[in-house]
Amino acid sequence: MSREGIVDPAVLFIYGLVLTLVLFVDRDALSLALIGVPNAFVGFALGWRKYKVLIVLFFIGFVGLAINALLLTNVGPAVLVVGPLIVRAGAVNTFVTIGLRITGIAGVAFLFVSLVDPALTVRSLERELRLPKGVCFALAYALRLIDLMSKDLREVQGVRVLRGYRSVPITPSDIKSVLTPLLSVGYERALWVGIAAELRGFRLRKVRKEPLRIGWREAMVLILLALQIIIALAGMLGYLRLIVPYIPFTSSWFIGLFGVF
Amino acid sequence: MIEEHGDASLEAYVEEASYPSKRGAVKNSFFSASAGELTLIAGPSGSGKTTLLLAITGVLKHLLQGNVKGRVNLAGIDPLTEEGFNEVPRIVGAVMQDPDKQLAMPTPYDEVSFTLENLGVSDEGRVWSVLKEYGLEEHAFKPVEHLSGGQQRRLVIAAALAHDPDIVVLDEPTASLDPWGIKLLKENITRLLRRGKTVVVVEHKVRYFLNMTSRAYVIKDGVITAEYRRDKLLSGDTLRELLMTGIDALPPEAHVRDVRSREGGDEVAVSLNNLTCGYGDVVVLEDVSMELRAGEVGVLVGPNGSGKTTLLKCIAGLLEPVDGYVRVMGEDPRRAGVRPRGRLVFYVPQIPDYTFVSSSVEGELKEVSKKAGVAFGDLVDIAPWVKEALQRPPYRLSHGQRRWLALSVGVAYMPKALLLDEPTTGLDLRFMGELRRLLTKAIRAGTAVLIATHDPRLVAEVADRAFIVDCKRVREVSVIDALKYLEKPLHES
Repeated sequence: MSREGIVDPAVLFIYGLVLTLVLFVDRDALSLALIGVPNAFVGFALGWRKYKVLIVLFFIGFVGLAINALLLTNVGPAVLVVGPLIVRAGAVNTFVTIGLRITGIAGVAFLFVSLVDPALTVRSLERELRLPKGVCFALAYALRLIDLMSKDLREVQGVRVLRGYRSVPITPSDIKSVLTPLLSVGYERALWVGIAAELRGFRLRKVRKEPLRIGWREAMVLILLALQIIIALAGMLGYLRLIVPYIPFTSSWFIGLFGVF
Repeated sequence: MIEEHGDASLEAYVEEASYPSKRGAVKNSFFSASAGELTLIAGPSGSGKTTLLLAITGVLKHLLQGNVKGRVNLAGIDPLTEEGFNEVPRIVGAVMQDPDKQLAMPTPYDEVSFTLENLGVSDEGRVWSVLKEYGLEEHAFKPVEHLSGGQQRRLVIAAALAHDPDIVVLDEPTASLDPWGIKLLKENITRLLRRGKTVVVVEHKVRYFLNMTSRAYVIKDGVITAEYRRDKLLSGDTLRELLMTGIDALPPEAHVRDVRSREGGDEVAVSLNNLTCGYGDVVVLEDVSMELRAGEVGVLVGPNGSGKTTLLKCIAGLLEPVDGYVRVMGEDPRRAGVRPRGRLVFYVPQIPDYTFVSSSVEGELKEVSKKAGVAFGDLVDIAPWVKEALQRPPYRLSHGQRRWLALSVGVAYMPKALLLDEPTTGLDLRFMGELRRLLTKAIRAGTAVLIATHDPRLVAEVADRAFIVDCKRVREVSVIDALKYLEKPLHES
């Protein structure tokens, strides 16, 4: 008996890796939105059941992004005045661009971790993509660690409630006291899993090479990837606004929205 | 007197073995093991048993950058050399202590396949036969996080031995195993011995293996101090000597003689009424009704995965009942007015690290002092080693110390109900004594204690009432019957 994933993990890995790089280099808000928002929508929807807490923590992180944007790039014309706080175009621009970028990257990451099986991933990446076995094993174990850490987090939260602490961390000290046991258990797991893997012959593992499996699902994923690369290129070269002239989706659109408020 | 043996398939003389940060963890120790024989290395917690195993398999030197001086011969190879270490996986199947921390793959099927694939065997039939041999066939594609502690233990053993190695090394293999798991393990060891394999077991609960052991070594403070041959191993003098060293060598009957049940107070501390609990659509236990009085100690015994932990979590209010209700001192723990909730009911999980909130033992005790209203000085004085460990992170304490600290945190809250999940896993006789002392303190304060355990020592020594958890039901039995229930599988052929 064996299990097959929905899409070949190697193809999903290529999709995730290339899109992450594209989102990193893209600086155009419109193309970032066109790529990031659909991926985030699908990724968060697929990951919601298993990674609810991580997704909520991700959105809490936007508070930090807003503070950073206000502290470091609050320049240009004022778009919003709240008491002593003047929000300027630079801060809004930074918040929108970086927000869309990290949302897209997180979406792609959740899409990948929700659709692949760690055991199939290790085989697929080393056999089809010829990645070093150490890298594949580390990646596959990291995927598994997400589930394990979710379980650890639930246990830690339970005991915290009994001990009279908030189960959801808010302050830096809360976050530290939740993260410390998680990282401690995670570190021990990583250490002992490495030892166990070596004792079970990981260094002797011979990799059988196989061609990349491209079925219709994989082909669809690669076509989608190509389309998104074209959108990003068009955005970065300024063609996107010529192709889509009637969508005023830029940072100034957000600035205008702030202005209305 | 320790002798060298000419027919040994494993021989090790460790002049010195230590971790990079520590000197001389194991020194001047010799031991050997022969094909078709079970060799036992016994010693209390912290005596250097695991370090010795890591040293002789080459892990300490090659993976942990430790220092190992001496000579080791594993069926003709020297694991202390790079070339020899590369060959270790082919001839040795090694299982380390904590199963939860050794599982690399998401399902039992993948875990067993991983070993075979590493060694160039792509045989699906072999994977299934190994899973069947260890009673894991039905769970082949279940996420390993959903397996019970005992099932995980069986899985790491199955994965380590999937390639049929000549030398088998097991570090505390009975920890967290239920009696059926121990029986299965013993049967597997017997089969391995019949097939001429060399089996080395490192344990402090040696009683399970005494009747099948050919040779036993005792390690204390990092030095192998004694060797016993089969003919002397079961003598009263030897058992007494082992007990004096902190090794649990008592035969099962000894526990039954120890049973002294007490009557609890009049007040009902924990009451369950037609309780059904589970996860999502999966019902784990149904229609559970039981009571526990203040100052009473109840034990939950049953196979791995029968729902003991689920029941404890439900009582602690960490899981919502599917049906029925839980009351602790008449209150629903999920909606209790008592703050913190731990003053009403406290659950100490199987992994003690989950309990800690601070990055030093001192910080941990100060937090307990603040939340539970206990003087910091009283907490520090509770065990002799605490003062020396104040500045250390709780996560860097020994396994026994961590377990003890987590338990102390629970007791310090002086809850009305204290729920302990497998509190004796990996604890030697010395820490068992410390555990008893803590429990006595809680009981005197009127706390009702409910413990999920497979450990007959604990049942015999502390239980006032016993409950068997099996087939989604909970039924009360006498403490003697609970002990018989735990020992019966071990005597069945």
